[in-house]
Amino acid sequence: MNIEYIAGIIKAVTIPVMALNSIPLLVWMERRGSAFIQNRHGPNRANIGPITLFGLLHPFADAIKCVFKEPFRPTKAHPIFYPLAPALVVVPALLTLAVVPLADHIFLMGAEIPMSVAELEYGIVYMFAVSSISVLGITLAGWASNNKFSLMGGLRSTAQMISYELSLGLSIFGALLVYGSLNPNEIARLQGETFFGVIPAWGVLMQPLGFLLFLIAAFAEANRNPFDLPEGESELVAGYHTEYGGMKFSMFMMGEYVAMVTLSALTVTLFFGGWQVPWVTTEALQATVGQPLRVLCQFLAFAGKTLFFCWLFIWVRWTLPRFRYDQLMRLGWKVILPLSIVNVFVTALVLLGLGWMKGTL
Amino acid sequence: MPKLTIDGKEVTVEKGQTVMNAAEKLGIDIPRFCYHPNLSVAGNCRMCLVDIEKIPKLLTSCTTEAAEGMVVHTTTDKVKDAQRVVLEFLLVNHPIDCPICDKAGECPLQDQYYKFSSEPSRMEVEKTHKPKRVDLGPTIKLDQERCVLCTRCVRFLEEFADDHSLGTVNRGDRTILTTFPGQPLDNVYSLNTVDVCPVGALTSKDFRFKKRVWFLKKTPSICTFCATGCNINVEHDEGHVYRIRPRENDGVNGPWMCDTGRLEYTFVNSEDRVKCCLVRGEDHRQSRSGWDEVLKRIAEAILHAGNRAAGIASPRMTNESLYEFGRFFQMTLKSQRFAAVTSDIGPIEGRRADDFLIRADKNPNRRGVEEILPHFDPQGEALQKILEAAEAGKLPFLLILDQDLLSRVEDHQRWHSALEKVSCLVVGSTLENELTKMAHIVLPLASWVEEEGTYTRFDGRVQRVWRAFPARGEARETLALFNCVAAALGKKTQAVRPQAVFDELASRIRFYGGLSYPAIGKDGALGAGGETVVPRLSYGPGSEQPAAT
Amino acid sequence: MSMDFKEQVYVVEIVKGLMITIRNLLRNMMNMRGMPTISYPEIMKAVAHRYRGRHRLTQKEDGMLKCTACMLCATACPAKCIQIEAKEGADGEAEKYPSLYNIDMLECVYCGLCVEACPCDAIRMDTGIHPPPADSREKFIYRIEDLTTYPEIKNPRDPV
Repeated sequence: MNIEYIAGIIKAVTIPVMALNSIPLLVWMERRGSAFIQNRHGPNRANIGPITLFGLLHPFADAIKCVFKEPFRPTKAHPIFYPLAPALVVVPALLTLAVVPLADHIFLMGAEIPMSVAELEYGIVYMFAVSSISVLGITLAGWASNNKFSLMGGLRSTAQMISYELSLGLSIFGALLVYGSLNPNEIARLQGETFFGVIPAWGVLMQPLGFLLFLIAAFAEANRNPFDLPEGESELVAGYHTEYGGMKFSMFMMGEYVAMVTLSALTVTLFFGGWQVPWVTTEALQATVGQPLRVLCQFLAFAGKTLFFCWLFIWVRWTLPRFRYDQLMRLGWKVILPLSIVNVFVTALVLLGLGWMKGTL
Repeated sequence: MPKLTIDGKEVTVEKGQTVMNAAEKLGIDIPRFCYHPNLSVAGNCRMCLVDIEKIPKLLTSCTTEAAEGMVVHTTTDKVKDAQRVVLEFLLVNHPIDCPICDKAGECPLQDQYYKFSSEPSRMEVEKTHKPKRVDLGPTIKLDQERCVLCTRCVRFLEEFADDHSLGTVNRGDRTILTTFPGQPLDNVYSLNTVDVCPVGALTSKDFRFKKRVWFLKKTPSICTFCATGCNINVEHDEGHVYRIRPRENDGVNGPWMCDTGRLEYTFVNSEDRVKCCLVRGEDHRQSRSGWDEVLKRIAEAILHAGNRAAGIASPRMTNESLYEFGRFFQMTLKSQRFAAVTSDIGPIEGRRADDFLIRADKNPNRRGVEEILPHFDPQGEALQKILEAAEAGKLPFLLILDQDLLSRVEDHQRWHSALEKVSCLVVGSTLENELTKMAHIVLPLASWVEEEGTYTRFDGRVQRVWRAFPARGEARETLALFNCVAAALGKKTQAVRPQAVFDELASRIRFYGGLSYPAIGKDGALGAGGETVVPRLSYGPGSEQPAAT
Repeated sequence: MSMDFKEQVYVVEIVKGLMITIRNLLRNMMNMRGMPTISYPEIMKAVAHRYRGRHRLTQKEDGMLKCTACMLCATACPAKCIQIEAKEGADGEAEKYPSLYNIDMLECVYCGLCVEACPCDAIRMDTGIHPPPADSREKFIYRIEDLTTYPEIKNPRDPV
């Protein structure tokens, strides 16, 4: 069989598994991190004999509990859509990861193999296309539960996600204009250059405003604090997943964390050089340490950056209070969106000017 | 008529009255232990010392006869000192075990200590110890340590119960109150000694350690165990009667009452109470039922019986219930078959009589029956007709509200077999007994402490009872019963209030004319033509001297 | 309260906030033992001397209860949670003792008035035990046996 197919299958299995396995880690980070921020110890009791792994076993205990819980369905909930909704949240989040490159291409048995499940020429477009589906899952969950709170939570969530989806897309336009490519791997590779030989030419330096807007929109897309309005004990109970329990509920949880990972990976790819190890190009690295170590280094660089952004999600959640709904909408439509548009135009003008200068010089 | 001045106030008293009486007339509180207004004067506790001008030493006010021109002081430092000293003396050997003493909370020694002394003990030597649990008789336990030797109890028994079994022996701090060896204090008035005891020395075995007195609520009532109708306070807490003590009424019983009356209350708390309606099934077994269902059955039986329905009331019922009973049969059922058996209850324990408070007639409201039922049935031959009809098997419905009927009637066997022939026998009762076992339907009725109403004493005095607490379980008041049945029969009814019934009764029956609840009050009031009959209740000055001891 | 431009942009303020939380996090991670939160069942905070814990009934040297069933505690109790039935002792025993002494811990407000009311030092609240949990109403009614069972008193307290 063609090596490319084999590699494709291996990648298609490992990458989602890795993403899913990051969930317990993130849950653990969230719980212990928040605890330390708040002068608490956080969950540290779950154990197998004397082994507690600093509480890392709690997410596994949670998973076991959720799996063995009674799959309950409210009497008047929709028989098909009600169980379907959680899947619609998790699956798109996982699918999005398919185009994120974990390292530069490798050369194996004469074939050039991309280090993403599928390297698409229009990968960014694919990402946005697929990740938008998760809004459907949330809307559906709110509606199919046949519960007022769920419906309100779902509506709120939908409105919020649609509003910020727009800014999310617009905010990266500038970056895309700079890179001139929609291929994630290509974008990462383009960020391997340096300015003046010392500063890595990461997207964040070329598009600081774009990055900021993108980050804010990403928080809103992930329904994370300060934009976690779909839930709200005091007004909406648990929002769209009020009626969900057991594994169905955990799927929403998983969706949230996978979305976090995906958005972090996207941020890293677009603005922080993706798999780029700073100051070292793929070729230089490979020449020094050989291909396997080069891939490892690049993967670790990518994973480290992604983890940092995941941590940022958590960090912000335990630092900021949430917005009120009207504030959220005002911020989205009156601040982020106009700024994104301005960013696009300014970037375009600058690029045009630069091109014009190059052309005349 | 000597006129004297006490604490600057002038008062005129009758000759022979003491300074203590004069002070009481003025409302001046002189502390005392041995003095009791209804007993002879002993003057041994020295608590009531007062300062009388021109007399160098303090005098006991209970023994000093008031004289013309006397000037008495009760609050001078000299008197106060004397009161403190007397209290200190009394407490020298008193164990001060108030926490376990039943008297605590209503103890004159405790109260007066706080009022007149409140000083700590200066005694450094061990107190004398005496027996603390002396069994004086079937009703009383004595704590000789607590006794302050006031001899109120001795005097009561000698002067009212003609019982000389109690006395003090030995001298000094070894003096004790005791009975003769081998002779228990076995007197039907013995529990009065507990009442008069100013400390916790004499305690009632029945009440001992049952409840602290400050938890008890007092509801005025009258004793219904004989025709005397002694005025009482029912002392109860949370639907449970703990004791019954006399309520002073000089027109009936003074501060006294008999032990039988005090101890008969136990049935109110008893497990033998009829707790819910019982219905006899096909298999002659009685099973529990609800009021609604039972009333429906009674209504059916009454409709079937028409004016042949009969009823027997009880001389234990209140005037109001008797009136409603008569009206129910005469007006609602148009039946003339209703009556009450007023003869005495058959041989029961304690059935005796004396010239003090116990009467042979054990019916508290015989006079009421005699005054009220003739208003509805002037002939008064209904009882015989009921018996004959029952014997002939022609009595379709009989309502018996007299739970003692079978022990009351003379020809017990004849009634027993006659009642068995009644097609529908309904018995309203407080307790389960032989009669309720025979009934087709048993209705749970409230006991007298759970009812409100009036009783007519044998001498014509109408006395009220108050409701202490709601009736147990599903029991209902007898007065409400007739209304319930009338409602089940489809008649238009309205809630009956005892007071309204009594007002109607007073307007219809000449004997009760002019009486009303406010007029009766706590002390009762005489009906038309009544004349108070009371035994000698007091042993004050002027009454004959006690027999030499 | 009006905000100046720097504050309206949020970003600087947010970064400041993030710095505060990360400082907390790092400090606590470096020094986990110094955290104000304690690991409760393993590590107990010292019970204050005046702490009113679960009641205990004190006993005389012969094991009999000191309680004489005077019911002053029940009288003083504002929650009416103490139920006592007195019994007369046989000769040589206490004259009056409680045959039944129940405290309904669901009703008890731990005010300590019973302890103050007791003339015999028969009831104390110095066990240091927190209000105990239970899973049925019956188990919340503590009888004499329960009230005389308690761990060693670490912090004995004389009655008022």
